[in-house]
Formats: sequence, structure tokens, C-alpha cells
Amino acid sequence: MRLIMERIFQGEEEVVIRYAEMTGQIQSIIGIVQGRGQKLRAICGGETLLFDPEDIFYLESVDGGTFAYSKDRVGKVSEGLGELAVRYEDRGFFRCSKSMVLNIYKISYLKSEPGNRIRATMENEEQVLISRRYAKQLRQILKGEEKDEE
Amino acid sequence: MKNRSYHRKPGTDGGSRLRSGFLRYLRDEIAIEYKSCLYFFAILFFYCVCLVCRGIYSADMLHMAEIMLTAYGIGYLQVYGLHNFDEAEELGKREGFSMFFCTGLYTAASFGFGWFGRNIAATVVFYIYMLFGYWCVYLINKIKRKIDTENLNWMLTEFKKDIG
Repeated sequence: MRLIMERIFQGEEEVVIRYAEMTGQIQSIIGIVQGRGQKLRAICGGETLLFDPEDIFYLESVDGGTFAYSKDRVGKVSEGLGELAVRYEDRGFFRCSKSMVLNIYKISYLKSEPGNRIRATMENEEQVLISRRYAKQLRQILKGEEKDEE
Repeated sequence: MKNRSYHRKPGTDGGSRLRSGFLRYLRDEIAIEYKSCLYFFAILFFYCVCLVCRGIYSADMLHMAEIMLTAYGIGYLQVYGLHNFDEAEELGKREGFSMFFCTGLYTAASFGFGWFGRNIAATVVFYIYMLFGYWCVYLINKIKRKIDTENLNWMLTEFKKDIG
């Protein structure tokens, strides 16, 4: 990919992205430009891990701590679940219960369950049962509607 | 402001706990209302057919009230005591037992209140009819969820396509 940089002395700074096809790399660049490209810092066994939000399957609150789960890693993050749910809302993160935030892009299959609940099967085969209240919000997100705040 | 509303866990203060409790109660009541009407009309149809077969062309208001109250009572039992078995994911032993049990209750009420003139043949046919009715409702709910599942996965695919 060719990189062209031009210094300007007046006017507004701008970034023009010319692309033939929307790829993961282009999306990452867009994310950085929009100020949401930061990785999520987590701690696992005294070691600091950096999670790419796109790689996170879900975030869970356990015993007052918030944990991020990717395909093969788990790390404790310092931010609260609510804060992360809002920060990554536009990247497909969705609050599916009081203690969990799911990455919709990591859901492989959804199943309608009795009582208007939804069972989500993640790409790592883990299953999450979404209650009626949160299932309604998930439907709204998938339809592209504004979700009801309760 | 948005952050704060997310940090406030729903149901943790008295007001919202009361509200969510009321909403849960309302949801169950609506489910009972829906079931009562459904089974009331199913029984009413059978009752009217029985009457016409006996050459009677007017229905007893008292019988209709009894059918309605029985449907309400069994509706409460289904929702609060028998895990809403006609909306179950699979028909297991527990659901099967509940289905036979509730059918038995309806049949006992029909015999006790004399809805079909305490005719044994009509009562037996009514038992089979109600059992079939329960099975149909179970199947309809299952098909409804299958369609919903397909729709959900279609929406999920479309959502993933919209990335970027």
C-alpha cells in the first residue's frame, strides 16, 4: 500500500482513504483515524496482554472484576463492563446480560428459544442464553434500529 | 450521561426492582390471558359441535362461563406450576406428563360440569381432541421459533456484511 503524506500550513487536517475493497487493514486504519483503534490492555498471570477489540469474543464481570475472552486468551481489564460496552458499542459489542457484553461479530449462530429468549452460539462453540429483555435489544441492533434504553 | 445509565445496574434500586417485578407479572398474566382464550375457543368449538350433533342450537351461558373459568385456572397452572409446557423446546417426559395431566383436568371438568351431557363417548373424544389441541399448540410454537431462528440468522449475516 502506497503512503502519501503532505504537510499543510492552513486549513483542516484530513485523511483521505482510497480503497478498492474494504479489508481488515483498511478498517483498522479507519478505526485509528476515528480514535477507536486502541487495543484493550489486560493482565493475565502478571503479564500484560493487548487485545484487539475485534478478537474479543465477550467481556464478563466476575467477582467485581472485568475479564476479556478471546479465542485462546483471558485477561483481566481495569475498565468496568458498562464503560467498555459503551466504548465498543459501534464495533458490535452488545450488553447481553447484567454481567456480560458480547461481540456480535463473533456470534456464529442464533437460536430462538421459548419465552422470546435467544441462544447465541459463539465461534468457539460457547453458548450464551440471552434473556427476553436483552434479546429485544439484540433484535433492534440487528435490524439497525435505535435500541430502547431501560 | 450514557455512561452513567450503563453503570447503574437495572433492578438494583427499589423503584426499578418494583417496575421489573410488575413487568414480569404483567408478562405472565398476558401469557395466561392468551392461553385461556385459545383453549376456551377450542373447547367452545367442540362444545358447539356436540350441541349441534344432539340437535340443540343454543349454548348454555353457564357452561360457557365454566369453560372460561376452567381455562383460566388451568392457564395459571400451566404458567406458574407446569413450566409453560406447550411452549417447551422439546416434548420430554415432564412436558408429556403435564400435557396428559391438563387434558385430564379439562376432561374431568367437562364431565363434572356436564358440558357434553356426561356422555362417555363425547368425553373420550374430548380427551383426544384436547390432547391433539395441546400437541398442535406445541407444534405451532416450535414452527414459530424455527422461522424466528432463520430470520435472526439472516439479520446476523446482514449485520456482519455491514461492517465498515
